[in-house]
Amino acid sequence: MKTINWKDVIKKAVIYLIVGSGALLMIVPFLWMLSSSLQTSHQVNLRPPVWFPNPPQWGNYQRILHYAPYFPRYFLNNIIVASVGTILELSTSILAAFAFSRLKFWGRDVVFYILLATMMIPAEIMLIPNFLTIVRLGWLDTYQALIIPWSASILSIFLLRQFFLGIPDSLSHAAKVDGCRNFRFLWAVMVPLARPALVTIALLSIISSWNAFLWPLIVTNSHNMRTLPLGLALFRGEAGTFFELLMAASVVVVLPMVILFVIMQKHIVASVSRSGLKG
Amino acid sequence: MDVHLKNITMSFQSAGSNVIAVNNFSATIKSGEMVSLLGPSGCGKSTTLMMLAGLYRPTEGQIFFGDTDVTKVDAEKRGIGMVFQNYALYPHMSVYKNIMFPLKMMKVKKPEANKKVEEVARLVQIEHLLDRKPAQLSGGQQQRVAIARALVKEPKLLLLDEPLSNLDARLRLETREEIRRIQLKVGITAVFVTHDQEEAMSISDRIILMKDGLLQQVSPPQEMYRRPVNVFAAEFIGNPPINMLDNLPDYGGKLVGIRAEHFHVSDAGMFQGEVTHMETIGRDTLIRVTGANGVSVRTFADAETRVRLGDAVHLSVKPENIHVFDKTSGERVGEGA
Amino acid sequence: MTERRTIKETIQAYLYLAPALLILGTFSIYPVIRSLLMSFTTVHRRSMEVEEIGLHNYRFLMEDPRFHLALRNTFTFVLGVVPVAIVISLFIAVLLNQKIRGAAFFRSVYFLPFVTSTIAIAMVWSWIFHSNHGILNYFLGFIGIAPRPWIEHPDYAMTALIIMSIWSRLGFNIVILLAGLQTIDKQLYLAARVDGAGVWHRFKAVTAPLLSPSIFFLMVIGVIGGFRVFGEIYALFASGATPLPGPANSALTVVYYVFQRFWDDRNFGLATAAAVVLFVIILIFTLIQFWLGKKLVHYK
Repeated sequence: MKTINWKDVIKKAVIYLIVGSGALLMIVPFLWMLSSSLQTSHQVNLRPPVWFPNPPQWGNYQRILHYAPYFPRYFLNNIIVASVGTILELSTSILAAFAFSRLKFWGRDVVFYILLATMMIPAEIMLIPNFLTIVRLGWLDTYQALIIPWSASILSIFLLRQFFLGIPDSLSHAAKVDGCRNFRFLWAVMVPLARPALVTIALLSIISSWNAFLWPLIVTNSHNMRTLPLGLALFRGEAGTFFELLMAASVVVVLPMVILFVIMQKHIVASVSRSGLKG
Repeated sequence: MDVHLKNITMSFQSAGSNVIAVNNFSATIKSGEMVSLLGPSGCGKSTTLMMLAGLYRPTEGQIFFGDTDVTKVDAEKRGIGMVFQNYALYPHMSVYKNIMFPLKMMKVKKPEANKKVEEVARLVQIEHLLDRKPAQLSGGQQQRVAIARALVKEPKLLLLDEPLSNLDARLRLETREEIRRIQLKVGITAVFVTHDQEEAMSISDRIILMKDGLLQQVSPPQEMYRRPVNVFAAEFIGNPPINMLDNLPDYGGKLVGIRAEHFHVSDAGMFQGEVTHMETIGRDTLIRVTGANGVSVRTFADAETRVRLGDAVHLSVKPENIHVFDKTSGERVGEGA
Repeated sequence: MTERRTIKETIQAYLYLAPALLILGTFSIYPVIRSLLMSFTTVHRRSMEVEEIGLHNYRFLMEDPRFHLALRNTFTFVLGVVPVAIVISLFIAVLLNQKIRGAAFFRSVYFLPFVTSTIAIAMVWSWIFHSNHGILNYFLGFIGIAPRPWIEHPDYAMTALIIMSIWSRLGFNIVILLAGLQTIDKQLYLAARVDGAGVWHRFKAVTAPLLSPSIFFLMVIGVIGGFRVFGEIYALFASGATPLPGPANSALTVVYYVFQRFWDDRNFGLATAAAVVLFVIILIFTLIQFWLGKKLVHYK
């Protein structure tokens, strides 16, 4: 017969209590964001707060357009920038990581260490020269400006190189004997094998590009090119006193990443533990 | 197609210093035969195989496939098949796709390629595994897939790099018979790299024995066993290892090698001593006989001659089974008298 | 064992590297050098002429009270956020590691802010902090704390910013620490138990030293990230359409200073000089941490 160990039960209860109330503190701002976004202008200011507005004011989401008609465009821009940027980043990383892990060439180590050293430098120091470069290229307020500077990442190259190094040499020998040259081998064998690493890179790239703020802020100046976080910051000036609308707009910005997170939870958490860096 | 290696030398840069892996190596592999490259690890046998494959380029020397100089021809253009130690199957492809891969690279038409894959799958008896991924197969099955992939493009030369070393003992025996069966059936010229002398003895038409990048002996297995050209060859071939005796009365200044199975327990003989150790493995009883001067030899005892621990025995040996070597050069100088 | 490098393979390799090197060279390496050079110049606004002015920008920064304020605020922010966030997340991570049911779910909840736009986070917190209608003041009322003008008054602005930043960084820390905890051999805990170590001693003797590389990593990343704070401030304190680094510049940080000098004043030379100072500070801090790390961190 199993006897109840009261000490263990109490210990577990205390743990659940602490971890649970912490989790509650984490989730409440999100719930409050969602709840506020579904309230009337009157309800949002009521105390005690209304947690479950009845009926929910779905119309708030439509009212965003009244104050910020460009919001759908921002959304589209975010999707374009995140997807094109991620595809480009994956391509440049695959090619570069292949060279660093599989080819023998003059200057390999020097180039690699210069890149690694650059990884330590905060991006803010590059901000102004990069802005001037964009101006000189005539890219101000274009998709190129939003995408190209971020379409290669040293961290991604580094992560992928580590992964490629783990693929045994005999596989590339076998492919050579089978009549498969470098580039073909990269696409037919290395890339499918590196899927976990590529997923990591893609997820981190999507998240950081979706949420990027400072760079889009300085290189765009028309409604056509703005991205969601930027649009949200501006929305404050456009609908500042209507907190239910501000929260609705925030939900629009946050929701796609939350959905992505719910679907890809394990991958995202694993990616972060693996790479340990954000943006 | 005969394969000729002419004065091949291969040196590597390793940790700043120059390492010579293969040193002025020449050999010929005749059409349709199975040749083993045998030697201890680091002897240069795998490097030699890599050069045959075109994966390494020799520092000096030439390689001929028939009359064609292929020294500078890349691996993918040499028309060879290769089986790797860890099989090197593409983990993300099914068995079928793995075998199909070389044909795809050669741009063979689909219906013809399908036929070829099925044929070779039948040859190595894996028709029922074609839909699986490599990870779902046992070591022995993976090995068959690797062989199928190597054979499917009907290469002129089949290279096998320690193909059995990742298998357990029982499977190793089975697979090596299988490899020999397939090789004979296809009639392909094959080079088999191994560090296991028993494997080399059992599977090949001829053995090329190497040590420290240098060729030691090239001969059919039985001849290498019967007439080792030097001390290294004598000691590397045979199990239990050959008895090497120094300073025997009639062979002053020479080394004498006598294999355990060539000694016979008898009433009189060249070697006498006491039985100091016995072990019975299956039908054989291996005994150790220690002479008065402390030198001991290994031999087998017949079931009839009931030897017991502590017995004093004489060992005799036929003169033609005594190998005599020069002590300084290690070269064979003759047989016993 | 390496094969020789050939000219053919070298050319091939650089073709593979070309796209990445072109982009990284243009947008990551060149701008660093350009920044250093620009910080010794001034650009005339009308003529766009560049003039060498030596250390003038740096001298100006040394005497600029705004810059001093930005430095002070940044240090306050880093000191307020990094250690507290690490301690709290260490506590939660150790509890989550106790084989409790739903640990993965809790971890995901804590992690949610990581995938969320900092602007959206600042938006909802500015609503939570709202002095009249914010729920924070409402809840604090239950435990007898009078409502405070969290984001409207200079005395509270930095506190509000720090609270929000700790909240948003916990998840990342917890994930890293949990990954670190999972590498610790469970038998060590059993051994320590057999040796008579209680909960606290087990933590001190096993968890803390074996987790020190992860903690160290979080400190370095946290400090670097803390020095770079910007978006949160931009969105948290904005009044209407005008972004504001807190009431009375109470949340003016170095990156915000750089942004103002660059964006509002169009003083490129001074802005880059401030960015270079920021870089040097981060570098010094990182080096100090590595130096301390060598003494304190236990690497296997």
